[in-house]
Amino acid sequence: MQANRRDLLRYGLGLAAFGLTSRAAAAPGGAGILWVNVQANGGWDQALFCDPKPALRGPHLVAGDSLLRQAGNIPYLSFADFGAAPDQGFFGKNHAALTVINGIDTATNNHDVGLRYSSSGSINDGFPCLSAQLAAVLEGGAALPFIDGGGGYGEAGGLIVPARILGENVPQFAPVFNYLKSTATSNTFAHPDIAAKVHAAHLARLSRLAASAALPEEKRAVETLITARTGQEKLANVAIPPAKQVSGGLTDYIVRLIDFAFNAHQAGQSVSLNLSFGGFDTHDDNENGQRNALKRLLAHVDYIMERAEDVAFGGANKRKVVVVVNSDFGRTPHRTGSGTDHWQIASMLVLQSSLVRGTLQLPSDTVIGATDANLGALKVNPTTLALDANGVTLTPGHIVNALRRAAGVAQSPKLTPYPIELAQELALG
Amino acid sequence: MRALRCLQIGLAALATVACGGKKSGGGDAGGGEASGEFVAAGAQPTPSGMGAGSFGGAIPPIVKANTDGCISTEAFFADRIWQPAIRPCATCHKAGGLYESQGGDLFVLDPAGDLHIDYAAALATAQVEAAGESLLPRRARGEDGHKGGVVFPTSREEYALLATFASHARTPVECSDDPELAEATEDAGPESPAAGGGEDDTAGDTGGAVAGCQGPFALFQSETWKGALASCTGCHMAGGFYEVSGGQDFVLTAGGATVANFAIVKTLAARNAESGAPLLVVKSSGGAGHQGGAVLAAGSDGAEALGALVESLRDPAQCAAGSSEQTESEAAEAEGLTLLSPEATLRRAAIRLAGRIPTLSEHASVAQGGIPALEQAVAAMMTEPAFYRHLKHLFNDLLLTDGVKFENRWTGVIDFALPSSLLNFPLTWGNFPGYLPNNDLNGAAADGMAREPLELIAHVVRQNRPFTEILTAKYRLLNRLGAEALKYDPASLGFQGAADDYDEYIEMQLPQINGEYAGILTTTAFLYRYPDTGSNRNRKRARYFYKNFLGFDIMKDSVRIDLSKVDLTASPWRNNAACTGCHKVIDPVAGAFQNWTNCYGSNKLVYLQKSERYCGNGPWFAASDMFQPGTGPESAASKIPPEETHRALELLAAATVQKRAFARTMTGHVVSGLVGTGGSSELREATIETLTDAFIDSSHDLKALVVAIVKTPLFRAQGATALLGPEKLHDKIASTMGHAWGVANSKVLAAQKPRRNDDPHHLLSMKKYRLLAGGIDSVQITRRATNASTLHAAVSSRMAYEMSCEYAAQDFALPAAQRTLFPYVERQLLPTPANKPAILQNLAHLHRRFLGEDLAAGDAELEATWALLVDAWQTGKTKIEAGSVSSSLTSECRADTLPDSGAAVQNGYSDDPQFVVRAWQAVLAYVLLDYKTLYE
Repeated sequence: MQANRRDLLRYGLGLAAFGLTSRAAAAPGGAGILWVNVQANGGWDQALFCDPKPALRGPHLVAGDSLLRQAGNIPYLSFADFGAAPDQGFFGKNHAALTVINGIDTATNNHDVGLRYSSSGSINDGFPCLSAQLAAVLEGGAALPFIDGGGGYGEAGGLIVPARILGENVPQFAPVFNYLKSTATSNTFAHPDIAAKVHAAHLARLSRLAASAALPEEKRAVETLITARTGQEKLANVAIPPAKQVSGGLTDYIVRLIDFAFNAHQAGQSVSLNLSFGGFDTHDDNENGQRNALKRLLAHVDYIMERAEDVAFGGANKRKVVVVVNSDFGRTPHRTGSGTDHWQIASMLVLQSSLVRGTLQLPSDTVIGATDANLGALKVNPTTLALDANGVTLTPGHIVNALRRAAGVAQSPKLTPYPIELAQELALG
Repeated sequence: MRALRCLQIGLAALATVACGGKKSGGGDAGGGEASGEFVAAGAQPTPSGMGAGSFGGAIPPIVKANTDGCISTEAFFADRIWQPAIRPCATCHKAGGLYESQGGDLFVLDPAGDLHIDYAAALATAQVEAAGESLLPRRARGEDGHKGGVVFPTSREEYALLATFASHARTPVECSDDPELAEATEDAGPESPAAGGGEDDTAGDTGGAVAGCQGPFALFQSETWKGALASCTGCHMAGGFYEVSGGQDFVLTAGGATVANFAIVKTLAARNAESGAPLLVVKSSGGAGHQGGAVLAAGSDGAEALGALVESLRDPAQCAAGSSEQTESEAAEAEGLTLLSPEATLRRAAIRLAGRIPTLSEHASVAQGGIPALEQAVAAMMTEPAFYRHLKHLFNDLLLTDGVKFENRWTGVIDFALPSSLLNFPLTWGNFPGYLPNNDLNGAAADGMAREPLELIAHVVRQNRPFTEILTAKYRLLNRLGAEALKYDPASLGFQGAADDYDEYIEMQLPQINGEYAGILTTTAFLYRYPDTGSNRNRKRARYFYKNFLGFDIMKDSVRIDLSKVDLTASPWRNNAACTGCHKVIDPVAGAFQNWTNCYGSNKLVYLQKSERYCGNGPWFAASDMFQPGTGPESAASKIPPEETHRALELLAAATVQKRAFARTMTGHVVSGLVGTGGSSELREATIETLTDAFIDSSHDLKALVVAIVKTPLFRAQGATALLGPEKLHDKIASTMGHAWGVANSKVLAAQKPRRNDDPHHLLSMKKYRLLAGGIDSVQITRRATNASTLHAAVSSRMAYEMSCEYAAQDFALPAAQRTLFPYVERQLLPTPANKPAILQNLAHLHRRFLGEDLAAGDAELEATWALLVDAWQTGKTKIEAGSVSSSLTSECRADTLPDSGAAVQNGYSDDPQFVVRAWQAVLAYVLLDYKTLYE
């Protein structure tokens, strides 16, 4: 059905004749969801967790870390429990939300290219990251549609102006947001009516400047400022989260940025968030390096999912959240001393909170794709998603394309300049 | 005649705008003047799918059509095929790309996207058959083991178009563009549809063919570039192997057949080989030691074309060529850029260079003396401390070495405990051994050392030394604390300033590093910012060395690789062709960094003596395992002899600064940092090339370069604005307001000296709004915002409201002659029609001071600001009368105490019974919020 709908669109046939009008007019399926892209910078070692290879990595691990475990339908290496009981580890807690995609060919061992490909779906320079793509289409007038926590691939491709901030910045928001509330500007002008007049005169002036701009670039810049000024009032609706005491691999300022994004999303002011975690380029000491980096990363993904399920408050305020976790690429099956090098075959994780599951035509508690004993990619039947020697080799493009479809943004004119070309799409999304 | 002139201008890219741009962008497909040159009734023969309506307004001006309505295969390619279906292939199929590096030589596209080259490559490929079918669509759908897989499924429109193109490739349609066409076009005049009509002033073929005569530039454009010179672009493009190997004379740049490239060819065409024959011709046939061998066979069309070009260049009397003599002003005009007056340019320069508005005397001088006076004013600005502050920010945007400052990461770079090593990273504050009296001093010491690369740049410029010294300096540059931290007695080192002056940096020799000095390359900050690991063997440093100083990013050079066919256990970087293409460039330079290491996994940065190299594990990697140390890509000429490895970075630096790529990279970076948006990429490239030449000719005088940049159309173009970074916005506010934003807390500033990790100024502090206002932390956020986000808008709104509140009333308390903001009005002067003339004078003052607008009475913008003033006044006054607003200023906005010192204001007041002060406050906020405040 999906392909047929796209064909209809391609050939410009009216949807009304097929009784699809109401569906076409509805908001995209991805609307209302907080999309989080977590990037593992440096190239993670999938063999140590979601594409478990105890034979490859076991000799370099203590016995308890090289066990093949199963959480729901998802096999994983006990390394990723970091000593916790299986039901308390990342996979044990999140398998119902989780889809693992293994055997993804990034076609590169180049960090910049790999992270771009995995995070955007395209190998091309300047292609916007998934978060920017989603925010551009789903922003709906939000003030902070795309929050980029920095450090990873956050290219916006001109689709949208990202808010590039660090967790350390969150405490700085309060004095700004509060100041802009009418009470604060009342202190400046004695009455909010005066601030409103200044604001209106300012916007009128910007409109005149846009109309008389000497260059197209200047016109765009003025218009962007108009959008920003119009949106800034909405920031006051975003609650500034308090600092938290954290443990278990969490970092306080990153947690605060996550909390801020949740608040912004709840206020209808944010669509997507990018986070990045370093430490995965373990050329020197693979297992120890991956342990430190992965533990930290998974702890934050776990925290996001706990926030999504509102675990702290008994689930009264569950949220729609999708988390996409990816890395530049994977690590080589063979070793260089104690380390591993870049390997073009990678894995990705997609987690859907309970309110999302079943609504996006994305499976959960499952594994798609696989690798052989030496981390070589195995082909997948694009329709059944089962392993198939005559199928296709998965690429980041397949996955991002499926997510774009799932979110209902794939056909958006805003993304027309950024097509993801595939011989065969997957029956996902 | 306008058509002919346009052809003679000959600057292809500019001609797009000057001659064809308006037309191609202005009309509907298949109709009206826009498409008049491409579409004619009864057009034939045309490839299928090429109906009259198929040629839209975006057709490149290269498209050929004649009065018969003939549409060539090349035109079809240009319009329908090229961008959607061919350019995506350039990822692998560009010259120097993966395809070529693996031996492919058929489908090699132009890295810069030249239409002619791409057309020739696509046509040649389409003419080759496999299994009775053209290769082009076969490969596009993934046949024949295409390593790029399926590019276009057969269901895609692009595939269908490729197939159509291929079907015509055997007998490509070539339309007549003989002299008759040119004459006919010219005769038709500008009103004729055949000439494009309307305001357009071009003929159908802007490829440069002039009736009866092709001048050298026209030849270059129409024949040589797409033909003979296409063979050269694989190695001779900027950043290509020729340049990174040290070649300078024949470095072509992006943009295709541009004036800049023509100028390079023209210069070379004047040279002879030893045989007396033209050097270009000799080299192309493999002579004169051409490392690329023979690229044009004797007697081939390419060789003939190159010979004809050289002959034409040597005999300019052949026909009037024009074109390359076109001035930048003409080029700018051709692009539709309007240049600012010298006075307006002065304002832009003052803000961008010195963070301030011009003085009255500067303005008067430039108003009278024009551009020469502007040059003098700019030169004087470069003696101001603010210029060096901004220069350091500008170069940190490139080097990102501030990423190792305490201010940014709360970690430092100094190890006080390791006598044989200099430094250790990362050290948290708590880990400092306490050599200095307190952590504040330790932090300042660490920051001083972290700033060494940027201070070195400022030092070299301040001393009027050749900019090459940033890499060749045979000294370290440390401040008092840095020296003290390294256990030197500052008192004996010649510091001139006060004991707590940590901004003074002096040249020092450090015996610990055995005399290897290579400017920035041997600074602690650079080496920590780009560390090595056990298996990357300094390659990260090499990558950033190339990127920062030679403008060559290896990460963008080879994108795809298939490791499944690579034996990763046999030093593939040295032995496997899939890997060596990049590694023979990177690894020699990585080897040049061998004396500086983190001991391959350790955090310690160690300078190693000759016998200790590789951290006591023996010498550098064997030649069988790694390309050997060199000053550039692997070659005999660039190899560093083993006996010289103790000063390998010195040799690398010395070789680097001789390369034109170094000068161009530095020039390009300064241009990017100083000019705004606007202008085509071709104009930018041409400008950078011209400036690079001048930079080299001036012995790398950066100040001269800055003066030259200020005079360029790119800098002077009206509307070519740029979002001010937080540092410049901070300075601009301080300059226009007379007070910086955030000085209310400046008591903290004094208390915090010398630790500068929490600047109290709102726009400079990492803990406040520096990042929200579009700045960078040099680690996580490494690119400045180019447009305002909502957060940026919120911050600047607070700035506008807060500054207007704090200083409007203050300014009125001063005698009129001392006022910054309101010199022409008093706070008792009501904004009534009777008082309008005086008030307009002050409004004009604010527009000029804050927004750079010189507005005459009656100007609509002045009237709009007047309307706001009146509206705010009447609204407030009414509310005072109604009792809903106080007749006194709120405590934050009173003129009672000075925000920066807390001292009482002389003649202070807090009343505003008529709401006049607050009405002016509203106007002040209005100008501070403005686009022209935030962008310059």
